[in-house]
Amino acid sequence: GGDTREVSRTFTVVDHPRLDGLDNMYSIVGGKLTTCRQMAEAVVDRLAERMGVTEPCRTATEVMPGADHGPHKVAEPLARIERDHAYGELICECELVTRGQVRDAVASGLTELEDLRRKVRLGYGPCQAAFCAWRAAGMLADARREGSGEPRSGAPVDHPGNGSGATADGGPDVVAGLERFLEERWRGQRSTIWGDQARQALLNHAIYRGIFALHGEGGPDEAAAPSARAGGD
Amino acid sequence: MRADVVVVGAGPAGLATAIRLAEAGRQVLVLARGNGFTHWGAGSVDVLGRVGGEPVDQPLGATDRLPEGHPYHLVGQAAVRDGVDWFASFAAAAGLPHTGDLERNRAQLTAFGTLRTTCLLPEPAAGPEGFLKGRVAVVNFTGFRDFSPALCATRLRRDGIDATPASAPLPAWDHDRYFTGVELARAIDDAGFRRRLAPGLARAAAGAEAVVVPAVLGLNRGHEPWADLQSLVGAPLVEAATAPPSIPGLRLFAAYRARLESLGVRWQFGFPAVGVERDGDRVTAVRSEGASRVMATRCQELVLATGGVAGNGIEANRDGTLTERVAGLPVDGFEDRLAYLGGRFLGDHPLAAAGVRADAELRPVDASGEPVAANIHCVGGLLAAHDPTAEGSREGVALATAARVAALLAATPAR
Repeated sequence: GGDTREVSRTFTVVDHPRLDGLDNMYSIVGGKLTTCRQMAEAVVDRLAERMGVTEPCRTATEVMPGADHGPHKVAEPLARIERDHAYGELICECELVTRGQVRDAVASGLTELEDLRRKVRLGYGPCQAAFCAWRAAGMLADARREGSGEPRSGAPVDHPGNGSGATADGGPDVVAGLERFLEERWRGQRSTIWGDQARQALLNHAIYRGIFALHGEGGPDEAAAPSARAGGD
Repeated sequence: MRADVVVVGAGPAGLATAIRLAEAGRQVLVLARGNGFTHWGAGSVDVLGRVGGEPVDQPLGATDRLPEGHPYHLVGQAAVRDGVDWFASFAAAAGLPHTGDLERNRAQLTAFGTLRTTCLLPEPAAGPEGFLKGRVAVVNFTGFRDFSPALCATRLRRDGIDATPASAPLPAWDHDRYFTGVELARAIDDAGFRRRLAPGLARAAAGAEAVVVPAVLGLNRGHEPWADLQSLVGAPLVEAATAPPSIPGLRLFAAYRARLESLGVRWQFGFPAVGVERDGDRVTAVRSEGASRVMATRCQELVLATGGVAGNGIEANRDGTLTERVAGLPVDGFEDRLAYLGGRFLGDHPLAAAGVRADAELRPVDASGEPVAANIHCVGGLLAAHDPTAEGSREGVALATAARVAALLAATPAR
């Protein structure tokens, strides 16, 4: 166990044909996940040479399944931020989720915080959505309003009388979606909370219930059910 | 190091207690790990919003319905009134006048478009009487990322309020690319900036009877920036409570700090208290983490204002037991940790009400009700038998218990 950062990244392709007289076997030893593609390239180069394969090697340019952003270059994140500052602004400091990522996810059609959570990992970090959830909820509300064609500038739209209960653009209530999101996060973590996480949970409660006066779906509050003592924790 | 009274904790309870003790002639040292809930809250004074889950109209009268052992019962209604009245005078003298009184709760607008219950509101948050019955413009400052007028207005409209979202451009100003509410509030402290801001804000308001904005109207000049901007715009401006950091809370903190300094209160920030030394039934010193070593500060009296579990004054252990961090005071634990928290996040949580049991003099007591020390007092969220969030009583309990301790310890001549 312990810190794996000190494990060496160097690796070796063991040439058994040359070293051990085993004509059809290679071993690859050492390395870390960061070098796995280079290791694969090194081994396959040996095999290709042996087998007379002359196809050009595409390892450096081939995009792996699921790598939506294409090959990754070291300076690319900085270049992306310089092109679009939204990628430099953090919505979720715990999981390093940027405004640009959330905006792209919303633009791709996601309308619920739960979907954002699955896509960009909103709310998974130590603060358990204390700050990112309401920021993302604001972005969802702004996106809905922009989608509805209301002017963004200072001139207000002439709305009839009192609110009808639906939102201005007829879409679902973002705050209600936020309440559902918070409850969904809670179900997964509630039984594992003590120490610092208990403190964070109560602070989050003080924000969403205490400052923002969110109560969720009415109904009587369930008291914490006393449980039978499990055998040794 | 020596002190007369050491106050541990610099949240709403610790700050009020330290000031009132100093005003009563004691020499006070404040030890604090960090900032308290003042930096987080809605910037108002909650006294009692709900009892038994039901909303309360008259906060002071409703204290009768609280269960035995509640801090308000320990100190009595007179202390609640004393604490809140003291605060109202203090805040007004510091350029932060509040509206409200103990006879009637009030509604405070939040950035989510919800209305939270409170007792005293800083004037920028109050709005004119009945303003929610008219047409309301909900206006953000373009580029300020932490307020969504669409979110706020949508919720207000759902609750039958005629609210319209809009944006007001900010005049050119020197700021980092991603500016926070604190930086914007500081910019609004400048009168020239406000003069350039006002016309765009007035256009965004476009004749609404009241204009709701995020609570960023000034940081270091009390309520003057709000008042000035309101007069330039020509319509009432109402500050909506935002997520932390609380700009109104920071205004109050600055006022508390200035008062403490003027009273000669010593202050050690970033120096958590980690233990005490005792001689018999008296605490003789408080141990705190210094820059390179643990320091012992000798003291006559110790006041703990460290908050409950949320304030980091009490640790919730894995096995369901609770530990008071500074003096190891007795705290009732739970059967196991599954009893800490309720089934719904937005419901109630028993852990939030956990704390140190105390007597009528706010001395911590053991299971048989006997004080465990002669010279320790507990104030604020550290005390048992109340959930400041669920019942909406955080600042009221802080002020009432500060009033009680200040009265008790002022009566004792400093040795």
